Amino acid sequence: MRISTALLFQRGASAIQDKSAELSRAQQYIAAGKKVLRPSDDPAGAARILDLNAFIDTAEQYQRNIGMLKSRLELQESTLNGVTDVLQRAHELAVQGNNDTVGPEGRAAIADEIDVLNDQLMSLANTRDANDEYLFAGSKRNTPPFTRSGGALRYQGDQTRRELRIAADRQVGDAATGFEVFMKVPASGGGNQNVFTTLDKLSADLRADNKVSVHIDDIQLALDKVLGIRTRDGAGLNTAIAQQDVNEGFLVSMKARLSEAEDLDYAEALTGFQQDLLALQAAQQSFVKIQGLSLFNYL
Amino acid sequence: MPSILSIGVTGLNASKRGLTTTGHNITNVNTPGYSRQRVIDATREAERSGNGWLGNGVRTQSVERLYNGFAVAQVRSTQSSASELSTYATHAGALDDIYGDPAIGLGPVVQDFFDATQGLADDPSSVAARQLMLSNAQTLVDRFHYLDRRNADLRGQADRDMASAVDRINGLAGNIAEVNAAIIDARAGSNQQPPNDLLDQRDQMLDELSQLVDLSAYEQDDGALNVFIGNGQTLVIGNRARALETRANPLDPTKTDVVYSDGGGGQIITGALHGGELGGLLRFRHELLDKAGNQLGLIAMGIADRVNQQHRLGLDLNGLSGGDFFAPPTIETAPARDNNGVMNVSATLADVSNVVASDYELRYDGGTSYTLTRLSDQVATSIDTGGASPYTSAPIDGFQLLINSGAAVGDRVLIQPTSPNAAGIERLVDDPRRIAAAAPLRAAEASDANGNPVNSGDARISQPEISRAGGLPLGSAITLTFDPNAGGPGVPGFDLGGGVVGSVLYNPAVDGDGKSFTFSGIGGMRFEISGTPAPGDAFVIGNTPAGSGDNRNALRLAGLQGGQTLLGGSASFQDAYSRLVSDIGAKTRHAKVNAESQQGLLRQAQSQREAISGVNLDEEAANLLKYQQAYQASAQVISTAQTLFDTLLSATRR
Repeated sequence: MRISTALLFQRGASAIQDKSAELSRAQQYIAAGKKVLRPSDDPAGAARILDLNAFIDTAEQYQRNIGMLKSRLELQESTLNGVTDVLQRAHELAVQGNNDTVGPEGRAAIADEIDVLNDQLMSLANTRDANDEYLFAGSKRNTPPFTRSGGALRYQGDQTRRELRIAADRQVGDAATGFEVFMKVPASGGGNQNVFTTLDKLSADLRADNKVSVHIDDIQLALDKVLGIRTRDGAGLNTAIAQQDVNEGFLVSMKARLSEAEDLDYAEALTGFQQDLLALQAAQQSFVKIQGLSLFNYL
Repeated sequence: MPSILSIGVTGLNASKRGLTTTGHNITNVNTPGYSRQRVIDATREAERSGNGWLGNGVRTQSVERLYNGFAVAQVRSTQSSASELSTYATHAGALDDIYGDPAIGLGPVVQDFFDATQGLADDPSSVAARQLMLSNAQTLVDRFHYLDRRNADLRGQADRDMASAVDRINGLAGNIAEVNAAIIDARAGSNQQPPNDLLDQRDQMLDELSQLVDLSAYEQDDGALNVFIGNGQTLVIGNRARALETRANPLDPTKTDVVYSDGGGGQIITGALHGGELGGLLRFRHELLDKAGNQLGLIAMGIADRVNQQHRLGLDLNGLSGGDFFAPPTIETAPARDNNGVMNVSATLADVSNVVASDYELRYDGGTSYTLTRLSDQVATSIDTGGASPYTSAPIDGFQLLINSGAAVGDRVLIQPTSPNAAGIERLVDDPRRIAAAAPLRAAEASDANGNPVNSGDARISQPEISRAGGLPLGSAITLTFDPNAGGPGVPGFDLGGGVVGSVLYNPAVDGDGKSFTFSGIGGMRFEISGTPAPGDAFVIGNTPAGSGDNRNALRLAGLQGGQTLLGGSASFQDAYSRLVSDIGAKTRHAKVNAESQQGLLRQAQSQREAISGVNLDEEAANLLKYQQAYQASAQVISTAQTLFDTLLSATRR
């Protein structure tokens, strides 16, 4: 086949150009450490990378939700632990006070301690979380849920218990409401009686030298109630912790898949780069050699 | 008898013509489109003598260019496809770059918005969490605007490139017409000898023209070449050229049309053009840019519509019902500029999950019939108003049309359900307190003034959910009081009080595991009661007060992220975006690969043409030697003639 001089030149030049374009392209990927820089590099891969990033971000958000939930439920657990201690002490004291061997002075002293315990209980019930919000207020988190006005106890929170999302299809209850922990406590005589009133009555009956056995039963019911809530929300906390592990495992595998989808295999890329480099040199050398050949050199 | 001397002279002249042509070839070695030429020599007419026909030297018949019409046509058609594909690939590459950059793509900002919504659900009372959701919403809106602007930039660039291509087509068409005229003259004035250089020039212009648009060319007997484009529109005929121009499309003024000047109002030939830069630009616009704009708009529309619907069901910190969080999506309708009647049509969104990423054309066919055409795939739907005006259509692809009479037959309206929404999305909520994170209704057990429970049974009520905003807020709290005879003697249930009257049945023996109740008049309120109430036990459902830390609506807003709410319920927002990106990637990749292989074919076609027409300097060097030697030999013939004459003279001088 005839070859025209211009074509020979053009071919040589465009071979060099193609090779250096490939080199600069390869260099871009090596510099970025990615194998997909544009969707056109791998359209399905690019969509997969977007999806994986979304999965990862969402799971990380669930982990933040769980962190928030854990901190509140752990605070609730330690607070309710304190409440249990208070109520157990009150129970002990009531049993003591119920003993006929204790005289009126002794009963008054016990009643004094019961009043202190009641104040402690109130301050536990008005515990605030890390965001300075009241833990046991239901959804009215900016007002103290428990107050006393003129001796009467008052619950100003509500009965709305929040839930938090810990996985795509899973929600777990947030802190319990003060209503369910402290107010809706079954009374031994039927109906409900809030725990503060139970202690108030205990204190009053001790001072009045009355029988207090009914209050002992009521304190026991309050302890049972608190234990019930602690069991329920402990299970919730465990669920959240288990989910946290599941999410962590999910994150690890998603991140591995992301890396597989988008990270450059350096060994492979550098080998390719070397080959491109060699090809460019070969193209340059052969171009010079071929261009040096001309019959005119011999005329 | 022929003269040796004159034979020698013909040889000298022929060799000189050969040398001239070789020189011409050598000097044009780098001239684009040049075809090497050669001298066709033939013997001169012989002289008859008694001894037979005596040769009379050489004469030059013609100077021809080495040229193969098939090879040239091959280059031209490959050129046209190669240029179409590389133009498409270049423009697609720009779109590819935009959507590939994670820093400017849509994926992360959609994610951040919904993450912030979950952060709000974690702590709805926190102003910081509210502020973060607002600022992430703004970033999302800004990103839509940014991507929309980049789309518009690319559209503008494509339009300018189209205008420039049309200018160059007009210039080349004019030049071809002039060269046609010159060729006709040259041939007529030279006994039909081919004007090689003019022919080369014209071929070169046709090559350039084929880079701009696909064409067909037919040579006439007089040497002129007629050029046709599109559906056979004559661009050049003999020495006359027709002009093209660009003009805004009458239906969609954001689109540039190519118009063929036919002496009248012009003929839109955009749809008939293919190949070359113009073809590449038109395909890029239709296959990628329009689609990308529509899909982007659809995602914006989906997010705005779904978030708004949910946000309207919630309650903000001020105790007010949530309004629209984003500007509500709009469906734009615009009558064509060349309508003759008054075609007044509007459209409203019916269900965003059925919306298709396309523009539509509604055409009035006369009588009471209209045709709605989906422009992405030309699917047509007939609409008969039955004479009603205004007429409201059934939902088509997620939207409804409101058609007023008054159109003239053939009038059209452009309907754009999706694309305007990428630019149109705005955040409407500015005040962090106005984010409706709470649900509007809450249920509680009855309690006394100090919050002490009064129920003695163990019945419980779930928090009510609503599905509509109608009927809210409640005028007064609803009470449900358990009554063993609510439904008649021995038929237990709850007597209703407050805003509603009557009773609902609830038998603890049967329904103790949970029975759900729905009140369609009160926002579709739904809740569940379980357990065993004592007679007189009561529940109260009331409005959630201002300042509530309830997060039920925030959870539902966050839940929208995973909902398959777009494209017929097959895609979440993220899915729709991933599809858009992989669609752009796939088309760009396809275009690049095709452009490369077409470039390979073009190289082959060019080397075939070059094999015939290209100048090879080695060959010309050899020719130079050949003609030089022939020249020297012819000179020797003259010199011999001289010697012979001298011999004769010296013989006779004696």
